[in-house]
Amino acid sequence: MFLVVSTLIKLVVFALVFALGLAAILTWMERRQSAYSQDRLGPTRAHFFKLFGRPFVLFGLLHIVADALKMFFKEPFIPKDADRGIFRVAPLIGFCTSLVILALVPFGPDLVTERWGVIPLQVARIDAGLLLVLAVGSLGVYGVALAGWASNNRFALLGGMRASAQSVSYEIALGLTIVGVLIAYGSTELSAIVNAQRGLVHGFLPNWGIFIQPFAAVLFFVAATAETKRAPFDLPEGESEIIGYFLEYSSMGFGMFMLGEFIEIVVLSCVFVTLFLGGWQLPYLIGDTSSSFLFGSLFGVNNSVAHALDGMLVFGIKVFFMCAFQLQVRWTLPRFRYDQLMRLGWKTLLPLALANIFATALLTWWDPTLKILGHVGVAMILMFVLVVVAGPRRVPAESHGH
Amino acid sequence: MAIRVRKQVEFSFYEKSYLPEVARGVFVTLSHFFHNLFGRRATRPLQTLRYPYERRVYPQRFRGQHRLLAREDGSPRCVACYMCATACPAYCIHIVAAESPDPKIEKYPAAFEIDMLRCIYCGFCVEACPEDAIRMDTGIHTPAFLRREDAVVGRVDLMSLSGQAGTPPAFGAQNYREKKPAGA
Amino acid sequence: MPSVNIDGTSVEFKPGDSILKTAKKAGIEIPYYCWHPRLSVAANCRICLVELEKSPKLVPACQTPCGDGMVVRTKSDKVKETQKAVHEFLLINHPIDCPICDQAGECKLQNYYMKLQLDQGPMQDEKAHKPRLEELGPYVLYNGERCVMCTRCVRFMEEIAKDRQLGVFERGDHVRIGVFPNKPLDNPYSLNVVDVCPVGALTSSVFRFKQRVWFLSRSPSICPGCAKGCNVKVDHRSGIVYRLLPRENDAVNQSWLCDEGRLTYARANDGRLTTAAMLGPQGVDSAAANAALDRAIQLLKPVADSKQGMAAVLSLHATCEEAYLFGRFVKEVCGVDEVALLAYADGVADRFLRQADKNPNRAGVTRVLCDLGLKTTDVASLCNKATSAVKALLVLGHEGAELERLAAWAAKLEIVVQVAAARSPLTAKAHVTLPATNWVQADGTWQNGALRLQRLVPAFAPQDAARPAHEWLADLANGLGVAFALSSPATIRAEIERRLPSFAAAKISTVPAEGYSPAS
Repeated sequence: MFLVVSTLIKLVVFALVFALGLAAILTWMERRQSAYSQDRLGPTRAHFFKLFGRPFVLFGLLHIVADALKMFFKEPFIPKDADRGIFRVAPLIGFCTSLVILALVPFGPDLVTERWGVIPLQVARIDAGLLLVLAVGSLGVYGVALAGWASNNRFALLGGMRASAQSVSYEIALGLTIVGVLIAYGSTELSAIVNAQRGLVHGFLPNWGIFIQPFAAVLFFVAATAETKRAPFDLPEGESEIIGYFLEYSSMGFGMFMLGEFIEIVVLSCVFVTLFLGGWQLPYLIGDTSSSFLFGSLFGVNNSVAHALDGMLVFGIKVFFMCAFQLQVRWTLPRFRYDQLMRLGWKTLLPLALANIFATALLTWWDPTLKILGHVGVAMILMFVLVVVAGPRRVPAESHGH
Repeated sequence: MAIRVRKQVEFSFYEKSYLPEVARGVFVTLSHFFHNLFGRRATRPLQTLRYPYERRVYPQRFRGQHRLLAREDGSPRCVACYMCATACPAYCIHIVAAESPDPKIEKYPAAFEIDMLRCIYCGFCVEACPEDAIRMDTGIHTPAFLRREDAVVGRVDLMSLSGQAGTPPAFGAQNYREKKPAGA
Repeated sequence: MPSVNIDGTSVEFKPGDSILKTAKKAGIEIPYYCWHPRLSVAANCRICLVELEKSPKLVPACQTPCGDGMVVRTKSDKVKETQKAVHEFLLINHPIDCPICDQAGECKLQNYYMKLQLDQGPMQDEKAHKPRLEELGPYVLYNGERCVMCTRCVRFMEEIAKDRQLGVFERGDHVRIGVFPNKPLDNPYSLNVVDVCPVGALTSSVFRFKQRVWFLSRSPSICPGCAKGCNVKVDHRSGIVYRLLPRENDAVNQSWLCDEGRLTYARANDGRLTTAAMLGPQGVDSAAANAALDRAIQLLKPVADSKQGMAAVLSLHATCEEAYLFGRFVKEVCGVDEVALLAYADGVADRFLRQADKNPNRAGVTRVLCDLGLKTTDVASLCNKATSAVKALLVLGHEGAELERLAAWAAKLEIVVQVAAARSPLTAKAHVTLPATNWVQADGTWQNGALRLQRLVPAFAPQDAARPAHEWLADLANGLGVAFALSSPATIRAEIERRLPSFAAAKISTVPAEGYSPAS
């Protein structure tokens, strides 16, 4: 009974409040952030009343409410020749699979209580967690493919086809990049991976995946972005060419797809943070069972609950910044061409992921304490930074104008 | 139209690896983002105004709604010479000339109408006017209309408008009159 | 032929011709104000001064006859300097108020100022003041300040109108053109002085302020005022005729036009019909063109079937083409053997341009109808007929003096169909009115009192539902079961030439722009 109640509470707090709330805010962030990146203002119009002669827009946050209201009150239109059952179910599939993945992500350190014992801040602690993430994650594409098929519209079908092909191609790379992490941390259970990232290498470098496996982190991020169908891999949507798999959807059907996309961003961030950014951990500040962070230093409270709250806060902040980074990448890069997408997936990511596995295996076999792996990782990061900062720049060709 | 052959750009290995350029691109958009988020309003790249609530200060030479100027006795300065109508590229000025009641003045506009829907606010009429009788210095936008007929603004309405605050009341006009030979 | 060397080119001349005339023929431009090809030479404006080799002074080109072997320079620095100086002198008292001057746009002074002078001149003193709005007569206004005293107007009145109503009065700064006390400029040719005036001194009170001339389009036409058939230029804008100006034609009107003829421009605008109309229970109301045509066909059907009870009235303003089609229509479709001619009553005539017959195409219409084997009568005798024998009336045209009477007579008839360009008393009585084009819009031929054939050129397209009368007639005939394969004035002209003996030799289909008189 207690297990059910605690699981339900965790589900509500993490999946519904945190993830869905963040997804809702992301809809606003996406617009506002892209606007500011492109020297625009973004949404500033929705308001209920005026304050000092100007509409009270609350930075445009009210657009979330306006959008939700609009979505709810629009006509849920189903095309005449659509497969009605599948058409209705399809948006839910992607949405639900995303939420299932969240159940496997640890969002805080274990809560040690006297009365109820150890409560893991993770909805489901499953030994094969990472494999389940991959398995369930690949189911998400069914929603898209079925939506495209059930719409009985050739453009929507094209979108669904593109989504499945893309998903199949990048899942391989995705799975292979994670192997490096598995080798390094020696577990497929996500909270174990987080715990394995505790501590410092050489006394200063956090034992995070991003430092131990920088290459895998990049490959994972790229492949996972392609899995979530976000720009520059948004070919299934491709609004300038085929409008996308949700072409025939209106009202909340479309809303589910849109919200699902943002949920996927949150999920991807959660997984990435868990695998490569140390999960809920913050080196120097949050220790094994106690924390010298927010509650520890400021409020002088240093028990397990404070520790858990600190961990959740850190996790939330990390996830937020990963989401923001994903949005920024989206508003920086143009969409790939389909052949480029396929070439990148099969001919670049796949060999590189394999190479990463061999390199990681070799270095881990040589030094199981991961020190050498850390050396190599830091060296790669430094080299990358050097190339970005000091690398050759192409002089822009003289534009001829109109 | 000249045909320009664009050379195929050859990418180096470094560029083909894509990631450093992506990082630079993200840096560019991020720098815009932070400039706009934290930069001072006057200097940030984002210069959009929330129009009805914020308005740009129009320069003195902003071409807004036209007005017709009057002589000291209140009669229109316009002599119905049709120079504005001739210069008008949109054919929006309609004048009916008539014998002026003042014997010193040859003719005056019995009707002077501007079709605001046709007007393109080029200011040619102002330049063409030899009497400085028409100006676009009211500093106001032409108001919205509900009916097509309302868009045709007549002489009385055009003369009832005043210039933008700060504009000299009869800029240059007096000088022009004085230079002309008396009695002309 | 003797030749003269002007600006390095050798130009042949007729003995007695002036340098100006010879240069003009050769396409060499010499500016002039007071000279006019149809007036005597005054040589008082001095703008045409040219350099003549071996002559110590410049000579006026308009007055100096050419001599064989003369060497003339019209573009030398000396000539240019002089032209500028003369122009400066002409403008000494001119207010240079082109924007408000009605002549602007067709003013020699304005053009030559832009070409020759282009500066303010050194004149510092106040300009002389003169009357600025003097009514010389009913149609002519005089502005003394704009006058350059070329005396073209005075010479016109003296030499062409043969009526010395104008004169030069006073001297020096006070000089002005004027009329004698209690003798206004009321000559029937008075408006020609406005044409000859090279500047804005004489303006027409009729055209004044109506339009700036650069807005006007111009097309050639014929004056509809009388049987003289003076050639005119129609100045129009947006389908409205603003004035008629004489068009040069040595055989008809030289460069002149009477005031009465000039004022006929208003006929082209007054009450122009642009929609068809039908007489309903609520009176005359506009109708769709097709509906009106169908109604006319339906009304005329019994008459066309029985071939009797029809009266036909044709205006003498109709073109020969319209008259031909009308004649064939009433004869072949309706069985009519007599056409009443709607005409203006005879008016004043003189020995210059004005003719007593105030109808422009009496000759053409009567000859066409006669050749078709139709008798002609007048409206008065038609109206004297009892209405019992007449069932239907078909009227083409609206120009004529007896319209009131015709309308009163037509009111008693069962069927009245009118094809007309403008509203008339008859329009209120007609059961169907079909809008036609007036003479300015028509493509056709008129034959004047001297049997000269002259072509009318459409100045602008018919508005709205209006169509050329021949199209209406062809459609009516078609509806009544007789197909005329006559779709354009050109095909009608070809058929006239083929079928009518009077026009067989006249070649109506190849009338040149200036018209021609058949040899017969």
